[in-house]
Amino acid sequence: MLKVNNLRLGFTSARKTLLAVDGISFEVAAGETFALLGESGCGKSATAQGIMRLLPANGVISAGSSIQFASEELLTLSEADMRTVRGKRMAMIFQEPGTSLNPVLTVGRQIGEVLERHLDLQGSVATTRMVELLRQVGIADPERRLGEYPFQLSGGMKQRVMIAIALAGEPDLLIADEPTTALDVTVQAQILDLLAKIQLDRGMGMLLITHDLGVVARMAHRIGVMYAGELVEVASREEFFTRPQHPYTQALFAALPEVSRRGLALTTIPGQVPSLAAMPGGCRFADRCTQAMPICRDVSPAWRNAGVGHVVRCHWNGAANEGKSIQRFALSEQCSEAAAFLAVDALQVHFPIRRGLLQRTVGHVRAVDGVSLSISAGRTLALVGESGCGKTTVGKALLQLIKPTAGSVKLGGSELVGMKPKRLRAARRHMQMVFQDPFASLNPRLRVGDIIAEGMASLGLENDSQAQRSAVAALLKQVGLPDEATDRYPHEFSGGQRQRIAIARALAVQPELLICDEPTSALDVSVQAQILNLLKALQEELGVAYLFITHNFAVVEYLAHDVAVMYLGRIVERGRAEEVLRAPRHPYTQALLSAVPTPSLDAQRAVIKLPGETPSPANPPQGCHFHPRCPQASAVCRERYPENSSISATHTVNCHLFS
Amino acid sequence: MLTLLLILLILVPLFWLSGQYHVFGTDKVGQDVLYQILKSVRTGLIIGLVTTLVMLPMAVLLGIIAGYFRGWVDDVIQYVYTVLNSIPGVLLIAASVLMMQVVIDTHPQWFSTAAERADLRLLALCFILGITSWTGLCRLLRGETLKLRELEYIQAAQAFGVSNGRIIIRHILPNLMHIVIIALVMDFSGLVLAEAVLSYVGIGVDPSMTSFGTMINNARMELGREPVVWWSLAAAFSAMFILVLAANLFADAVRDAFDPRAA
Repeated sequence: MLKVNNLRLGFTSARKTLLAVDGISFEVAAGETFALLGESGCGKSATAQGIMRLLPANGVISAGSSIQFASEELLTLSEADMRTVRGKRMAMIFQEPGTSLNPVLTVGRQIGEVLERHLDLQGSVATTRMVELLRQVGIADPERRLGEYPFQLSGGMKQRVMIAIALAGEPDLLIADEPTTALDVTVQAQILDLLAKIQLDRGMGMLLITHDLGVVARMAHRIGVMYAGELVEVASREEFFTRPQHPYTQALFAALPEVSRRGLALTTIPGQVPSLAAMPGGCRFADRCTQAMPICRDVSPAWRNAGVGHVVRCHWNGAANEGKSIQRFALSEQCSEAAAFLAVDALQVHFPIRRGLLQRTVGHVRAVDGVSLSISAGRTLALVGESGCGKTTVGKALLQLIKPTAGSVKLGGSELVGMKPKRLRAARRHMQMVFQDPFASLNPRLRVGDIIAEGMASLGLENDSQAQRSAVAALLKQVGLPDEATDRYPHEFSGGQRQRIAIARALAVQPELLICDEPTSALDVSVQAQILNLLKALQEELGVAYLFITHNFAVVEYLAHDVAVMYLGRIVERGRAEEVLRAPRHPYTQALLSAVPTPSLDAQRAVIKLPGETPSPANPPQGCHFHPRCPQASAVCRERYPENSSISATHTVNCHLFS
Repeated sequence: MLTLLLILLILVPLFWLSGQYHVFGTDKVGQDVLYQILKSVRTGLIIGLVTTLVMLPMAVLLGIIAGYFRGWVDDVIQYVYTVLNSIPGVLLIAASVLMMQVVIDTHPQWFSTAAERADLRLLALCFILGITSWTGLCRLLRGETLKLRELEYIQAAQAFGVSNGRIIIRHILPNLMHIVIIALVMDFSGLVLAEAVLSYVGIGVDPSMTSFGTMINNARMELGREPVVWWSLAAAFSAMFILVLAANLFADAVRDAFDPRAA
């Protein structure tokens, strides 16, 4: 149905055109899902925009490209004709539901726009159709929702509305650009199910753009792997997951953190995607490829058949080289469970909600509502939960960046809550934080050396400038950055390198505990593997303990010794990683684990579907917070919050099922 | 290079000729317009620079303090600038200038010459303009600081126990500089123009002092003549245009020079 042939498009800047997509060809048949997979900066989104002809003003599609849709050439259509194609025959869903809806128009108005433009529906006919559409995408009470504004809807609902808008024109092809990247796993599962069901019902073609192998395994029929603006491998789902051929694809799989790789270093892809301005001749992956041969650097490989419906662009056709020495980490599983280094008891952080002229407090957002946990030296505790459950607030409250409302944080025996600022400053040496977004966590106007030295200077560790310089150099070496990085500015580094700088900054004061707030969620898989390896190596070398705040279960499985699952400001289940992940007891943990898409072929586990989304912490449900979404809720759950009950010496759960 | 050549091509003959001729003509009493313009540029620059110097520390300090510390400090500062803003600017300036005028007129013994009196009046005008015009920049900086203080690098610094003063100087101020520079130039242009307007309505600089405002005011009368005397007004207009444009270009260059990303 959709036939893309030799699509080349680029962006003009300073009179030069940089090719972002260089000669890719693929087809999408009706009723088929074709997934474009690749890391950021590979040209996936540019391809989608090119197909819709929605490129920004400086985007150019080169001559010789062809995009045929239902045997009609799209590239020669006039803009006016193209407008009848967009939204009517081809529709697009964007990544960020928060910004893809207009905040000042009601939901009904935004869906109605498409109906009016493409189907000439107006008035009550249109309203009936809108209600139908909203019901189709699984929104309860559609009549009321039509009159609401986007801010009244949750993230998952907004994405559903976005899908309804895309479906309004009854398109034959749906382009979904990272449709679930911004959503939580339980909501992601709902949206993916919805997309699959709609596709089955309507026989639509779907072009799915994603970086997540799990989503691909769940949704795609055929997969195209993109690297640096080129397709390098196209295969059917079975072929792709059983016999990936291209070294890049293989590396992507090997870089995934998994429980089976615990104690092993993850395979990383050295270096990073080459910039558009400096594309190597020959194979574009050659510089990072473990199988690179001399020919790779000179001749760009041609397509080669590697099986039924499986083509690959690579000179190398040997078997995967086993026997590569994989660095092993000594298993620190047995490490002594010494006395807790950090003990948190009944920590509460409430934010007042103020209203009215006099700013009176009318209520509290209970972001963290009685969290107790402990970490002993050299161990990793993963704090897992969906967005908005208060896990980041816990991290910041531990560091006293946010003042806790109540509870105690004991660090090596001394109480941090309510400590005098002077003494607190000394205590900060023992505990540091690595933030989520490496682009926001480094001051763009300071040199890397100054950034790293800041903590040392502030805590008075190395006052002598010579000693400081050599300490910075040692830290850079430790996190695997070159020496000359000291005098450069953060913007000259890639995301992964910036995260290394952030880790070096935190390590500069030799903390015993590092709070890592989703340190890899902004990074690509291959870079994530580098950072995880680094964290693990550092733990082994320095014996530093981690509080790892994340929503990514693969990372938890790979890295954590202990796991605590949070829901709406409280910990609902806690225990050793293998206990919680292998035998989850709390219905929420079970649902969360089942909703994580696995990047493999074996029959996808039955997903426990959770209805709805996390309620607001300003107004948590009566009784057990989870009962409105819980499939096993009973009368007692509605009345009171469950006590803490022990499953084993280390495994506890807050659920009435076990009390 | 080409620009420099062009500028030289215009300037060199201009000054060559200005020795013998009145290049831009003369006004009604026979004063050379080119000379008047050069003196007006001087007045404009003084007003722009001194006022900026008065306004800048106040705007930057109060803006950052309000945005960084929030709470009651923020409330007080916001209250002050909202009140100041809600009084019509020209009215406030006119009232202050007239008050100052009365003070000057009742103490003639302070000044030995008329030029001295004119200078003091100019300086006082700068202060009045400065005290009434810091609110815009302050509001901008407060907003930006509110955004910056939530950024992770500020929190990282707080986690190290870096003191508030140091965070403001090392982390917040440098990241506000681009706004400060842009706002300064906008204000500089605005001040040069404001001086022209104020002098035109008679509450600006001393009437004996040459400035764009007084030049325009005088040229206004000449426009009614037959044939029309247009060159005085045209010269003032183009000189003001060039001054403001130059300030804008200069600010862009300064901002780029301090941006590590552009280097």
